[in-house]
Amino acid sequence: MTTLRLGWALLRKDLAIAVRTREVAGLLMLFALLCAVVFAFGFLRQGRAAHEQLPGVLWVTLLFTNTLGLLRLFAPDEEAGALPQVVRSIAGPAPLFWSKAALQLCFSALICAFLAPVVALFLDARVAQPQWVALALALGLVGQALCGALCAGLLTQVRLREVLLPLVLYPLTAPLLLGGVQVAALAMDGAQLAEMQGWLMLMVGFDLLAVVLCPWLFGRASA
Amino acid sequence: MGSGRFRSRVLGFAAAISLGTAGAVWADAPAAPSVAPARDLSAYKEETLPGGALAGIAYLLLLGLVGGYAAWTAKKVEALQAQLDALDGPAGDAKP
Amino acid sequence: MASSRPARALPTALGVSFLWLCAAIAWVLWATPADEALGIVQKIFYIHVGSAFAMLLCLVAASGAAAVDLLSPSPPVDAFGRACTEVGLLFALVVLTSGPLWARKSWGAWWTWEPRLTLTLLATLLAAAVLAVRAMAGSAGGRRIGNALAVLAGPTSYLIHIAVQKWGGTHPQVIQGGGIQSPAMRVAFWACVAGLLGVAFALVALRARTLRLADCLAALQLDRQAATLRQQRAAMAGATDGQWAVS
Repeated sequence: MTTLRLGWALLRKDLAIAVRTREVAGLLMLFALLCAVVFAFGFLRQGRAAHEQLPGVLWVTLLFTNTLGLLRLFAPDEEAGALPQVVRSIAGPAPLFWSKAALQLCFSALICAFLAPVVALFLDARVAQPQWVALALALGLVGQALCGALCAGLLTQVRLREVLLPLVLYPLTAPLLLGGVQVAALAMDGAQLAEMQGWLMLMVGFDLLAVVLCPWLFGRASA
Repeated sequence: MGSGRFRSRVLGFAAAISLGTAGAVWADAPAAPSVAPARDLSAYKEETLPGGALAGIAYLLLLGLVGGYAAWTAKKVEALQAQLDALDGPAGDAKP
Repeated sequence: MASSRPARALPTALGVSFLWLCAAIAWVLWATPADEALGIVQKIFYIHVGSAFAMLLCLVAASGAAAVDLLSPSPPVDAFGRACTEVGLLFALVVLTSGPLWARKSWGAWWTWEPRLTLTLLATLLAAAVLAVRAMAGSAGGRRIGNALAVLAGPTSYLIHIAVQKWGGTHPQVIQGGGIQSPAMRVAFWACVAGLLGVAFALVALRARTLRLADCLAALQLDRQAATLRQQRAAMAGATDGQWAVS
């Protein structure tokens, strides 16, 4: 269980850095707020908010904010020059991957908890069944954190990675976006679980694949 | 990597992929009615876009893309050949 | 030289399959009847479907080759995977340009968010992203990173396929549903498919060989440089020894 212990230690270290500096999380929240405002402006029709755009605005804002966070995910270790040592720890690259994915999940959950009510407020939207939207968001954030940690970790040494990360990440996580937007749209209309279950299972399938494939690929590709 | 660890990893791999596929196949069973209705195409039947021209453009694009890629590959081969000749030329004489 | 036979065989194969494709196209244009309902624009069908076959085969093979290369690194497999990604992207571009030209005539729109169109577009973007990463990341890193992403792209494309199937679509199901009725059309169609697949295979083989050759050449050049440096160092060491001896 060296992997788990090491991963937990790395995560605690990253969380301590995040709590002590607070700037990354704060700035990300500010960016998310700004992004939602820009979208709300973009969808204004004669002064009325377009409440039917809630799913798209929420998911795309989350995606953009997560991308920004992912670009900073490996930065503390990289700037300290510690990345090669952490990758070559006694348990291999796995603890690093899990700790970074968990850190990204923490960040995105924090942002999501702040962003979802704000977007609903801005767009004047009422969601009939918020619990299913929350479930879809949880599934989507897990998948995005796993794929995102993989892509961000692989691209640390690559030129133009700021451009390449979205280029790679957006098509890879497209099933989550497709499913999440559909579930949110159905939940807004008060649809029953039976109608959403297919989309939710699709997201569960994606997460299962990501849980297995992403750490394996990270280990293989950063060895 | 020990063989036991390898085996457990392969097993976990297979289990997760089959679970994911099973979930996806279950998701494939349409629970909701198909969202997109069949498009009403009657409005376009009378429209007289030159179908022959559209098809012609498609064929030209195919030949252009494939031919362009083949030509690009050929150019790469030529460049490689030139590099190879440069390497062979001085016959092993080390030059800066 | 041992390598001269395949070096000439591959361009010959490419030329033959390209000529075959041109002949099949000429046959389609002059000898097949126009479709009763769709009109002459239906002739796009002959190259559109074959290109889609070639794209699908190449991209699936690329994902598989990436997985194999990650499991047990092998330069030929890696070169094959890269060539497959490139040729898959090429035929994806053919599909994505010929499709809208047909759709504008028969659906009334250049583009709709229809399952197969969406899947093709996203697969194209994934292939382009993999190639971009490989180009940006240099040789050693790019190989590992590009392969990891190509492996992940395979199951993701399958999930995208399932997701967009749930939208329902208007795409004609010619091959799965009943096939082509007119015998003249059927023969011309499969002749086109054979030509396109032949061109695709020949391009993959040729490109894989070129990539492999480029890798070997780069290694050779590095060897030469190392040898030159060693010689220079030896010469300098000799010179300094001489100086010491004089003083």
